[in-house]
Amino acid sequence: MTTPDPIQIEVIRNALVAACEQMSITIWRTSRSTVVREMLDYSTALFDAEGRNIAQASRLPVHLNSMATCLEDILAKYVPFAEWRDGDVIVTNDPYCGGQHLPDILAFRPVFMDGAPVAIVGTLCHHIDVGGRSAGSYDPLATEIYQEGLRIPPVKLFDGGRRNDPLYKVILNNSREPGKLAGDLSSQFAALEVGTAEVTRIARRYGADTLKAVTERILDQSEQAMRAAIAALPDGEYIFEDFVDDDGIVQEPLKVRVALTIDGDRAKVDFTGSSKQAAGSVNCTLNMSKSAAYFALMSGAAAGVARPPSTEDRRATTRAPGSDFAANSGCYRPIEVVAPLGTVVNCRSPAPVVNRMLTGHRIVNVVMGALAQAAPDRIPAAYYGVSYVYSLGTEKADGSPDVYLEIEVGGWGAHPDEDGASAFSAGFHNLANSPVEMVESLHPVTFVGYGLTPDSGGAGKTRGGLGLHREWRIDAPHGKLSASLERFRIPPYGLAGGRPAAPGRLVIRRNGQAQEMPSKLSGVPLAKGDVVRLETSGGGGFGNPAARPRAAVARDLRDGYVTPDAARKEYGVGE
Amino acid sequence: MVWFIGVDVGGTFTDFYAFDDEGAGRERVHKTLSTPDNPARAILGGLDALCRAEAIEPAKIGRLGHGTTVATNALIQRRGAKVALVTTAGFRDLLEIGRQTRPRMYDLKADYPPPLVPRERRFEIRERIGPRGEVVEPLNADAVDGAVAQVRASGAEACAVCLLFGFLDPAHERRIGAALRAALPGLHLSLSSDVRPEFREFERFSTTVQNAYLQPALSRYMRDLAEGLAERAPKALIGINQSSGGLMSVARAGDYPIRTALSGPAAGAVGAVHIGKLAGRPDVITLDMGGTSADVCLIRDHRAGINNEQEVAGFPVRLPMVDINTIGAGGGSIAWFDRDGLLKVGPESAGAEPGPACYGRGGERPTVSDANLVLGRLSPRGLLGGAMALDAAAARRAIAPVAVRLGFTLERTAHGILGIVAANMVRAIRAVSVERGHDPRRFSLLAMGGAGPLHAADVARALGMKEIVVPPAPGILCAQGLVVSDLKEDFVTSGRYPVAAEARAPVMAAIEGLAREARGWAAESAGDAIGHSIELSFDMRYVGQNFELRVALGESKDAAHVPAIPDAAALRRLFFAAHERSYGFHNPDDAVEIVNIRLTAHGRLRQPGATAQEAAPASAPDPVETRPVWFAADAATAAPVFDRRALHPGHVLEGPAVIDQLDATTIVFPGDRARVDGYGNLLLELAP
Repeated sequence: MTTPDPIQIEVIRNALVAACEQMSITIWRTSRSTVVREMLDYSTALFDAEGRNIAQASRLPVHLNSMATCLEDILAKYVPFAEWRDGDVIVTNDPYCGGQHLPDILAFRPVFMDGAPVAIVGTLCHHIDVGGRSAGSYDPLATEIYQEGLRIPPVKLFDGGRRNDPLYKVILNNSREPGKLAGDLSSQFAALEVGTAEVTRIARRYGADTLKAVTERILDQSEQAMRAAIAALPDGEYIFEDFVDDDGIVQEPLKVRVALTIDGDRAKVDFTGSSKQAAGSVNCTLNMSKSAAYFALMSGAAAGVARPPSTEDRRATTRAPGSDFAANSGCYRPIEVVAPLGTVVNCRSPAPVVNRMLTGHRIVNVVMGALAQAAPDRIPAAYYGVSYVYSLGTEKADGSPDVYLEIEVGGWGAHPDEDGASAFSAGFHNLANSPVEMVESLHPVTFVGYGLTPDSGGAGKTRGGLGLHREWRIDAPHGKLSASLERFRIPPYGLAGGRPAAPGRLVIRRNGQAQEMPSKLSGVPLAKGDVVRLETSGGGGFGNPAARPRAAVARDLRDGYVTPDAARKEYGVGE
Repeated sequence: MVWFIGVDVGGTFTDFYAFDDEGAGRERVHKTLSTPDNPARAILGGLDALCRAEAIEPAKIGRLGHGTTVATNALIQRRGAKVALVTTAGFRDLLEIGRQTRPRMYDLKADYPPPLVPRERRFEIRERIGPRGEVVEPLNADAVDGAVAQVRASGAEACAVCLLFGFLDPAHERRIGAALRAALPGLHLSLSSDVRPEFREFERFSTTVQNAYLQPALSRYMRDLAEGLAERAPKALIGINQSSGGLMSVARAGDYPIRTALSGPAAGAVGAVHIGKLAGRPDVITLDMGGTSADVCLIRDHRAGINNEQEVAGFPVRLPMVDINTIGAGGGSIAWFDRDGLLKVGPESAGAEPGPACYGRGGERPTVSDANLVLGRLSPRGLLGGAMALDAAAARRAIAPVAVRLGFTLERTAHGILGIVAANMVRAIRAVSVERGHDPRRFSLLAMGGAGPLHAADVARALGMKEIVVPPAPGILCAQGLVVSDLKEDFVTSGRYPVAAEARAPVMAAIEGLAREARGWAAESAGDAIGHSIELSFDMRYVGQNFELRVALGESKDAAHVPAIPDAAALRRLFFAAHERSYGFHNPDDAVEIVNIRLTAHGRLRQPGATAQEAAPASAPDPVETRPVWFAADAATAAPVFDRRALHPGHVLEGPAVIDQLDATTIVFPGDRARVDGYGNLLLELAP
């Protein structure tokens, strides 16, 4: 075997990323539920036989940077690789076995060539419903994981290509939407099939030995790039804290604290001092917290550092630090994550976890806040920092349940040198919205409005991006609303004198009466004609608002991003 | 004599291809600088020059097909009109919110371009149509007057009217449009129900707004062109190439300029189809490589793939467009080291100024052309008959620092640069082939553009393709494609129709509605076309799926009839087969629905005749010279160089060889063999 040269590495790396993208396209085109096909809440990736992530398709960093840890756990504790056979598909959704939360089902399949293992391909999909107390399996008032839905330990759903039908039926029978669950699972399996064929083709072309040597080099190079990015930061300990409003059960803020230590080319991310694990479902497993910390360092450590001279390459979408080197397990090597067991960032079974994204986003917020101390000229103020999830359960004409699930986003934090983007996916998720025409065609709701919320971006020399509002009326006789929201009380922070963003809110209007709702709801009854309005938070501002150029304030006023009142109050303009 | 002329307007050059249909198939080629401020000027001026130089009588021009990149460039450079938007109350920000996903996951600044209509010119109007086309809130006259006043006060040159569910019932959009037209006669108007009557508001609104953004400039350009040509060539049929291939009228292009977003590259695809027909190759993949970028396109059974989901300049365009994948890989692409130490090539290009180092115009960075020159694949004399010699020393100087850093020889480095740029093109081809379920090994690679024939062998070999086709004039195939284009119009209706026996009546009614439109169109073009045909297809999916598969249902040979529609069971079987082919599985128990019904009407035009020439004796001509060429990284081989003009049908060359011509250089690798077919195409067989 010859040592691969840089050219061969680049060619093979492209081929592996292309295989992941092909898996991704297969899911997008064949899936059935709006969560997957419209909101794109799924990911695809490729691993070596030890479970290390080698290549990612451009989907959700939160998934991608947890799939390797999950797979390594499966291989170490549940199904050792010696038991994997050609045609097997190993699935799990168990957060305590490396999963995320119960709606996310991970599926892995080994790739063999001439009997020898070459790689593992993997997919993760957020499924519309896997049972539990509320529609969409999002119950913010759950206090144990047992209330959140069906729990599948790592297990072979396909054994040598043959489906385990009894197990399959158990999974479907536990869902309010078995048809969509089955459809989306088929998409996952089809994607694994596509990935297997592609990787086999690559292995045949270059030889298993060369492929192995190249994957080692891909990992090493990403590690070196990550180390270089960390080494460019000044050594020191940077401490930052932020809070989750509450866990839905106990009305008290939960602290997420980080001490980020930069020591040469290594980073230690220590969450000691964070709140103990919550009674409600905002807990993160260690795997989840690591994924958030990895993302924050991968995107933040080298943000704004020299970029490639490329003007536009939409395919170069999976590149990490400063978007110029490959994201994979190599990036994790110089990062140590410390999270004491029994805290909100490393919970113990059977703590509920369905809303782990609330704390997960906060982890990204605090690591970014700590990084801002090390690199104040590059790191933006806080983004909205929530996956704004709500679901409406109603009955179809035939009496079967209908689940309308949405995940919304808010505004980006202001950059040191430019305004934040409005209503755009940020942080470690990356979702699309559902078209109004799609939602209204499928579910008994009529939209009243969907737009940006003026004044929701934090004021500053550069302004935070605006949050949005989504407002609809229920047309069914009855319905039940569940919601897992955040940033209602503690808004996204500003930096360097910039103001925090406006918080989010949820209002239900009935017979002309408006009622402000708490951020976490489980099965609140709605009646025909009720109007639900969600406002998401914007992003924090950067720098002293008084230093904002008058022309920029005037433009914001013209466009209505800022109201005259706020311009007077925040910017002293218009007196 | 009747001349058919193709004119392809690019960013730098406007190319002409003229064919004398009754004069033994004489061909003429002309090139002039484009005039971006008013593209019609270069076309009319160039046409005059061409006619003078070749003694073409303008009155004898029977047809002029036109392809243009003007719309694309206006979008990329954001040089369109001041547009206003009128939209349903509560939804003026839909255009800005978009679909929310960011293209680069780890980039803290990745964002989409700001919308083409700023918030201050997005006006809301009270009205509402529901998901079944029902009026939820009526539109009243006061609201219409209010919107007209706002648009007037905004000073907009064009206005897009985009209402929720406007595609199901266009009555509100039309009333608003009529009021705007009456009050503001100079205003350009685009209604979403006209531009793209399809589901999903953001994509429909975005497409409509882009149309409005292009309308003032493109309609001016089309008017000038039509007037100028009417003076010169009153008998000529003028056809504007659409992004989906096929010509439309000048008036339609002025009303729907967004349909020309990929007009130029689509002409290349049509040219490629033409070459494929002559060469007897129904399945080809094109590689159109120029100075900055490469376009690839898959042609199956003599048809280019059509995609409805492309982006142009960062904005989604939901219209049928030839499925062309463009990447930043060209002769001017620059080689550079990434932060992680890996060598990359492109997408940044040295462009025309300063150009590659070997152009000797001050460029110092290493480019693909420099690597080709170092390897002897390009001649230091430049292209055959070209006025510009290439500076081999400058090329070596530019590559040297890369070689030092890699610890390679200059040649091995240059070879590596070509390997990377080939890998990028391989990826682009995989995106249009493998990712859509086609095995590239079953296709021939059609090399076009100035640089395509230089790189085709590397690309083909990496994909396992066995044959390369190099047309007689690879550099002007787009203009040539415009001469062989037919008239075409798409008719579509959107809805959700279950595939079931009892649901047949509404499907039949929808088809009859489209057929009426198609017959009207055919009657209008009856004077120009020598025959019509109608293709019927359904976009089908499993209930609940997001993505539809096009299922073709046949073609009728006249405009009066629509192809027969299979029964529900047969339709399901056709869909299952398509799903199996595309994704490798299907579920026979699941419900299937039709979401779009499409009729595509073709008006066949008289096409230039082409006859194969007699094969010459199989012996090859003498080479004009021999030069060392590095086919591999380690050593050079003495390769004979041939003049393409001396190659005639029947000639066979064994590699290694280089074939130089006016607009391109073709490389024949050792072991490969080149043969000239009866139409002057070079067919390269690759050694296994």
